[in-house]
Amino acid sequence: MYFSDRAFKTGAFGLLISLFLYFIILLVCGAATVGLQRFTAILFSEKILFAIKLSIFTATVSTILSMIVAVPASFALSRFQFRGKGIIDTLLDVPIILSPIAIGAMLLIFFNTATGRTVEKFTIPFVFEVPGIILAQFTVVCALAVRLLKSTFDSIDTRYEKVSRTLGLSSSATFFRVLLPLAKNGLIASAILTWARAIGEFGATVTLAGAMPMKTETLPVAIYLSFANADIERAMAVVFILVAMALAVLLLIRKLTAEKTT
Amino acid sequence: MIVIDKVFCRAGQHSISDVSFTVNDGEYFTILGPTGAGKTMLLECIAGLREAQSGRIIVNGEDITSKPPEQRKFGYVPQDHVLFPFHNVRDNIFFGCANINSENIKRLDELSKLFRIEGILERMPQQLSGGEKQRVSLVRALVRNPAILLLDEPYSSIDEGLRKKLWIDMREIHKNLSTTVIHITHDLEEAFTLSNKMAVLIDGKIAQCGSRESIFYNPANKQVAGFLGIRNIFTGTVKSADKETDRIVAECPYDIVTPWREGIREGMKIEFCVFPQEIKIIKSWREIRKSLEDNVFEGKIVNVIPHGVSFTLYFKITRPFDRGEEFDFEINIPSANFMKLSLNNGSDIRVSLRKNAINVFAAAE
Repeated sequence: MYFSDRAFKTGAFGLLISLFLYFIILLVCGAATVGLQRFTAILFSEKILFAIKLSIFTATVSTILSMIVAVPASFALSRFQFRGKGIIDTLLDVPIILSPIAIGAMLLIFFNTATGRTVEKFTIPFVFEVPGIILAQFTVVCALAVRLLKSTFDSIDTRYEKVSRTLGLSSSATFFRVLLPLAKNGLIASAILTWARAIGEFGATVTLAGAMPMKTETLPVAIYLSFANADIERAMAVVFILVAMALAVLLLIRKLTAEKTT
Repeated sequence: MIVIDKVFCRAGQHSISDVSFTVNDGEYFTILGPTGAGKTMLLECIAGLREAQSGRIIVNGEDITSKPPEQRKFGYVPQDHVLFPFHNVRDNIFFGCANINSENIKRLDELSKLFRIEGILERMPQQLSGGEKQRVSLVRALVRNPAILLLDEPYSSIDEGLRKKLWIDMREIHKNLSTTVIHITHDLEEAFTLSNKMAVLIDGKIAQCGSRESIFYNPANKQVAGFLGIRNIFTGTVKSADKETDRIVAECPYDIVTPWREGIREGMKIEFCVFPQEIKIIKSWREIRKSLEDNVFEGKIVNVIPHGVSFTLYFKITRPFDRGEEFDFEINIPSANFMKLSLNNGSDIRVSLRKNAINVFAAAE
């Protein structure tokens, strides 16, 4: 049994509008709990400014690290044929679908083993420290960066590389002079999405680095701590900061996508 | 001179095997074959973009089989031309030049005039037409003065009218430059227009290699004949073979007389073909000429397909006997003759398969 054309279109459009209104209601209800004056006071408070700075810093560092690893890794996954490629490809998806708390727990357990303690001894401390936030974010977002970049490289016709090789460029020169310029928009979009995912990361961060005000308090941790202290206004103010950041990121992505398609 | 010696390569479902041929300096050599025959794989092996798992590729006496593509100094033009979208035409052309010196600039000037692209050097690839992209892609491949130019179906994405004009341009340009060219295509007309030496690649193997005429008039086997579009391919049993009279009589199931061929004896199974253009329609009241008196059949036109300048007629034999097939021969005649003879679907006609126009392949297995 099928719906009539009119009923089908009305139903689909109706659900779309309902979903949109649902999010608007959530935002309006949230906004009603915190006035503009209170919001400004919270935004410029020492703790929230610290959380904003810490979130931007850790998300930027983890994004840079992720891109350094993900660009060559996704290129290898996209272009090379090798035994076990399917297994690696599947395993790399695990951090994307696994609960971040589970990733955080795995990291915490790792640093409680002899190997983990040796790593901390000879490098820098991670557990309940800022580097722990970066490591937790990196572990969660790197796989996402690989996945996004792989689809970017997959979408580039391999004949560009073939032409470049026959024009006298080595494979590495071809990577830098042909593939990266062709992947420019995809690289930027992947970096922005990775950064956005990192800035919103909570589960792995709180498990490995803890929730210590003015030490490991990122924006999502700030929401958690505000709720823990029953400070709803503060929690909603931080939510709006994250919403503003998400909107800015999505506008940037849309602009890039539009540039790519025109 | 480039020698391809028993090259084998496999990737997934596709493979080429035992591929051997030689291309002389300055020659325009075409590798002709249907889609999926392994043409691109072969060209990529020659270019070094794909590793040949066995066999050798020798250029001017040097074995280059294991050399990477950037060291082979071959020009390569893929399908759809593949110009770098982030560079203008000039930068695309100079992309492979380590430094842009006076020699490169002089070469670009010469080639731009030859390919008529002087006015578009500052344009971006997105602003070019299909024909312009194709010419820029050729200049880019030629600017480094390559030992061999490899063309992978370079005209496949160009409109038919322009494509034919570009073939003629390419013939002239090749005369001027004398660069050795290996060109792959599935288009018979393109191959026959551009080169006088070619190889036919079918199912990853060279089915025939030789001059344009030898391939066109004497296809080596059923596969080549089929690829050339000949549908009049017959299998029969030899009733008699006589060298003196240059005659083989084969039963298939009606008797067909073919020219004599070495190694074919009574009782053997043979395969042969005849071009649809070589089947002559004889008017019922006209006396049959001596050259046409073998293989005369009476029958009916069962289908007519117009092509503009010519017609294809599907002919079913009724005499000596109807063997029950949908049709027996495909006949191609110019439109003027079709009109003159007042032919139609259902017309009763008499045809002759001229003995000397029949091409006998080696004995069938």
